[in-house]
Amino acid sequence: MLNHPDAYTISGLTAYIRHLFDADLRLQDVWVQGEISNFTAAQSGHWYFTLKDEAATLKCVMWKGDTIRLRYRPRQGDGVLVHGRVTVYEAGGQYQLYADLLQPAGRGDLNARFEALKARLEAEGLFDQALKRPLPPFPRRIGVVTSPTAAAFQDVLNVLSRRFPLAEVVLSPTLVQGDEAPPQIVAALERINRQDVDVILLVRGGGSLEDLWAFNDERVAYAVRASRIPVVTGVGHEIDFTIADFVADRRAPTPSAAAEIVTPDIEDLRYTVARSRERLLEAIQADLAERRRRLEGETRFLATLTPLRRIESARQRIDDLTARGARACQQIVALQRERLAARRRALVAADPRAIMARGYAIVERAGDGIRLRRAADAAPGDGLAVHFAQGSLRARVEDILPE
Amino acid sequence: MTQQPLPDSLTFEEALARLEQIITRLEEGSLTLEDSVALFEQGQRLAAFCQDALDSAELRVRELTELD
Repeated sequence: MLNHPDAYTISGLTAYIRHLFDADLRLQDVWVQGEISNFTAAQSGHWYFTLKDEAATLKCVMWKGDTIRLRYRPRQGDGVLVHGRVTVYEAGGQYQLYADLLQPAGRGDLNARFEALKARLEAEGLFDQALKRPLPPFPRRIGVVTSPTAAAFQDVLNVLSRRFPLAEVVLSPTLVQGDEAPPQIVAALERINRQDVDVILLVRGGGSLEDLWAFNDERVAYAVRASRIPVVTGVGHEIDFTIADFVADRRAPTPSAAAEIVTPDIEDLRYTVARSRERLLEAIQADLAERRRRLEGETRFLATLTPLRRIESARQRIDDLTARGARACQQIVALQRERLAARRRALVAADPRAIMARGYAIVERAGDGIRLRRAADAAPGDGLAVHFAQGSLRARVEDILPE
Repeated sequence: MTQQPLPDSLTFEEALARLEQIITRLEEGSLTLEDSVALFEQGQRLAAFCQDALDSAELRVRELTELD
């Protein structure tokens, strides 16, 4: 195979062609009108479609960032006006329009009417934040104004069954599409206002601008404002805003979301009830513990006031005195014992035998045994008995000496 | 204090609100023992009522007619 020195790669050539498109300022900012065919809304949120007229077709892409801003969702055969830039999709080998604006051709009047009514009602004060009423935290009865056959109603029931089955749903049926819808919606709102409901859901599933048009009707707007019961709207998808949404006390992006907004979640309630049970138990336990603590305090105080204390202290005093008495007695006994010993020692000292042992003798007259105390008591010749500490002897008086 | 039966017309919301009040009063204290115990018992009945309401709840649906 022969290599030509100047041959392009496919990528190179395509990049060159793309450069030609991108360098053309007119193709970067272009309006084009045509009819929609082969419309595909991808899961990703991007739209792919073809614009055509009698003689030609144009591939178009609209990225999610741009599609979500649109209230309008095109359908097969719609005549539309599209703005964007034309460039080359290199992997596909084709040029296409990258759209950033898309609106129904010849339907500008609907948008204009919407904006005009919105401006007028806003000027009348119908949208004032001060008019918005709070929603009841626990609606017992929930009024629903919608078509009973619509998927939106089923969505609402599903959410309520799951989240807050304690409620009762009161359906006020009405058409939600077509020329007959606005007066029916007004009548349905009035009918539900005569019921004992806590909140009203005004809902409708998604659709085109025309499908949702009944909710841009001023009669509906005034009826919503006149409701004595708070109204929550859930009309179409997240991107759809209707006049009714602006007038309502609260706007939810979808019917399901409206049902969620007006109800507490049963799982939260289960938790609240369980927690209340715990708090109840804790409260009574704390209460009883406090009473017990106080009782113990009072009991201790009472103990200090009892006569038992005085009896005990008297008893102790008796013990003290008894001990002191015993000690005193012992001292007295010891003293007496000491004095007795002293006497005894004195007595021993006075014993005549002890004196005789020191050289004294007792003299008795023989015959009558009288103890002689004076020399004159004896006469010469008398027999005497002389007693010593050890032994005795007989003697005879020879002479009496003068004193 | 005698045991007061819960009124037939009691709603879940009212029961929960009364339960909350009872807990608050018990937590504040300064009640007689009899009142404390009576409130506690009433609180228990209310809690059981709420639990039952949640466990047995089933969404009821009523459709208005032209006559309503």
